[in-house]
Amino acid sequence: MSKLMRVDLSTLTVTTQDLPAEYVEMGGRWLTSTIVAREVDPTCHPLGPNNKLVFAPGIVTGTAAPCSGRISVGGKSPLTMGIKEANAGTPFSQKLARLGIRALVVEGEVADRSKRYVLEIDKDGGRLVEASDLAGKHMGDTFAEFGKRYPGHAWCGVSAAGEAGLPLAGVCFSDAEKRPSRYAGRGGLGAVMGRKGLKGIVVDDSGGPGVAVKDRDRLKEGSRKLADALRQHDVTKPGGALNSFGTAVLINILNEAGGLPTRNFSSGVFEGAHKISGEAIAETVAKRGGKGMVGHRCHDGCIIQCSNVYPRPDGDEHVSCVEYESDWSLGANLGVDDLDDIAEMVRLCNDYGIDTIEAGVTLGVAMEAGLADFGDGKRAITLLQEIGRLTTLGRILGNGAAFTGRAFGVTRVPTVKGQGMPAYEPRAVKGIGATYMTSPMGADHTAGYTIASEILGVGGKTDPLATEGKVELSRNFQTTTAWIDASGFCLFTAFALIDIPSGFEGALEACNGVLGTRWTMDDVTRIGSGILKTETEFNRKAGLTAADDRPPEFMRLEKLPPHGHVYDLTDDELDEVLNF
Amino acid sequence: MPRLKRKAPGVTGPLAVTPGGLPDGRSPCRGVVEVVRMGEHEVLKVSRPEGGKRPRFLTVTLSLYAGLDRHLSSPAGGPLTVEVQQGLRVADVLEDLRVPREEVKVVIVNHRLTGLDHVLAEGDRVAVFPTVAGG
Repeated sequence: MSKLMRVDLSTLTVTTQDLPAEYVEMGGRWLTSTIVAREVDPTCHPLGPNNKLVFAPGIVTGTAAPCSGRISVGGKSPLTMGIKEANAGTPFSQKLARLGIRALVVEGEVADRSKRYVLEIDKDGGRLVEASDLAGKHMGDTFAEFGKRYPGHAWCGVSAAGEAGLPLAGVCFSDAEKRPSRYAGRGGLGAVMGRKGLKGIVVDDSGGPGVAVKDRDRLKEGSRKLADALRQHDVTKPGGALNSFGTAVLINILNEAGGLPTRNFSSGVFEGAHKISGEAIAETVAKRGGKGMVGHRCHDGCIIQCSNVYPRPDGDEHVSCVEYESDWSLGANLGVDDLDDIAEMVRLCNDYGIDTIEAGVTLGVAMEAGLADFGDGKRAITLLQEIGRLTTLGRILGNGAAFTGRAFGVTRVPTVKGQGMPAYEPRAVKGIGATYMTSPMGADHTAGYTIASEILGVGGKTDPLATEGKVELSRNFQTTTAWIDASGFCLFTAFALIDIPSGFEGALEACNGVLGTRWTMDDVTRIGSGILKTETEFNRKAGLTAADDRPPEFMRLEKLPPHGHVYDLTDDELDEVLNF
Repeated sequence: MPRLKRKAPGVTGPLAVTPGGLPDGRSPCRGVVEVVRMGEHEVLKVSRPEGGKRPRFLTVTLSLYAGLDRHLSSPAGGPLTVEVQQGLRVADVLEDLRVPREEVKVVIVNHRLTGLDHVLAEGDRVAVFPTVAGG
């Protein structure tokens, strides 16, 4: 029987119950958003005792289904003030699922603000253990300490920035080698966890019951079909684009398409793009040798293996990983073309427990304000260190791009619902703009990745500069994505799912195998749109309106080089995207 | 024709091209690929001699991304400057450089997504990609 575990920091109690019947078919984002919508007052302060933090592995997570080690983390976001789901790939999720725990709800807050707790979870249940000696520690030191105390566990935790309630803070999970590198990064959920007094969660699945599976043959057959599709598709196959060059393989193609946001979204072309591209990363790894590698996995059971370990000049490990979003946000977006500087900034973000996207977008706004020159990577590093030290300036930056823009009177602030835009320029790629503006998550590329057809020619082809058809395109991607985020499959399986029908059948069958359901493609639409409706309704109750589903004004006014476009999907069109 | 390997200003890495396509057993292309001197630079020259009138040439830059440059005898490491006979399409140049058509997924010219049939014009910035994706 699957379980739901509740952890109350106010009373320091942990209780485990059978998973309520209405939740048994849910997983991942479906489950986190449903529980948040039911249990969290939408008007609550996200850093106060009435917010909850919900962890949920996906439906197939913990089984042998490929690329399925995803965990969703949900709550009310201190960055967007709306509902948030952020997810990551990590062995933590697999272990939680193998203990039969389908949802973990963290509530309340510690009475004594000086105290910190670690939640230990194993086959015998969960318990809160005081760990106040870890207060104020960054992620590197925190995980080093977990390594001594819990060597056989997988971990997650928050940093000093999370404890300080900064909306840049993410929830950091251990990777396959236990680095502090896999982030449920967006939206400040690390601050929600930190302010509750919960420093970390450690999970040991030894002796656990494993994932409850209704039909093992169906799960096996579905997993085989999906694995075949992943091994066949040019994007996801071993030796394919993601495996060979990592996600930063996108730097050059977005740059050539004029859609790589550069110097705080003032151009779509970065002259230094080739120096920070996935190709350049792979070349650096090959040249420097040592501990550097491409084709790195975040968790066992991944076929795609898109991660990397970036080496220092002497071959020692610098950081894992330099992926597209971080490479862009701390590179092109700052006018920085030095991979070693970018790697150092990623390392600092990982250590400080903060979201690399929001950090980079914030630094872009800070550069716009004159706190540093565009292109000055060394100065950007010192600005990040202000966040690490929790100085006054660091706390301003640690509140994100929108807050920093207000603090310094900047109008070119690329955010939606207060969340910084990721690495695709909406004025050059109109469909992804529709996703940024309308996703209940705020500006989030993963919520409906129209880039697939607008730029990459995966899942059909559409003109990135055209507005026609983009309402439907974004809606369809957002709907399918919500289902994938529930399934536990990595979003990158989508490339194979949308191009290879047997791959999608396999993903569905694997879920049906676990749950004993008979889902078809119609159910994908039903479930996906249902999740989006739940999330949108929460946001409306939280006080967000249609006015929050809009681009920042400067994108309506400023023509972006090289195409000279403004963002021109109309307000009425944006209002149609999630009007189911 | 000799194998030619050289490093020239404006091209960030060594380049070696085997014109005519014969030595390694792959089928010969229809055109001729030469390395010629243009000012202080050496550039690739792609032509399809058919006799009669002397052809005109135009200059484009060509980037082969995400591993496609492995089809050159050695990777270019940066954009190639290519002298192209007027009237040739992206597909013709790629064929002559022996980049397999089935590996080409996206063609972008002057920041616009286009296709292999794009007829090259003076100054075109051409970028060619295999299937790539990420997030």
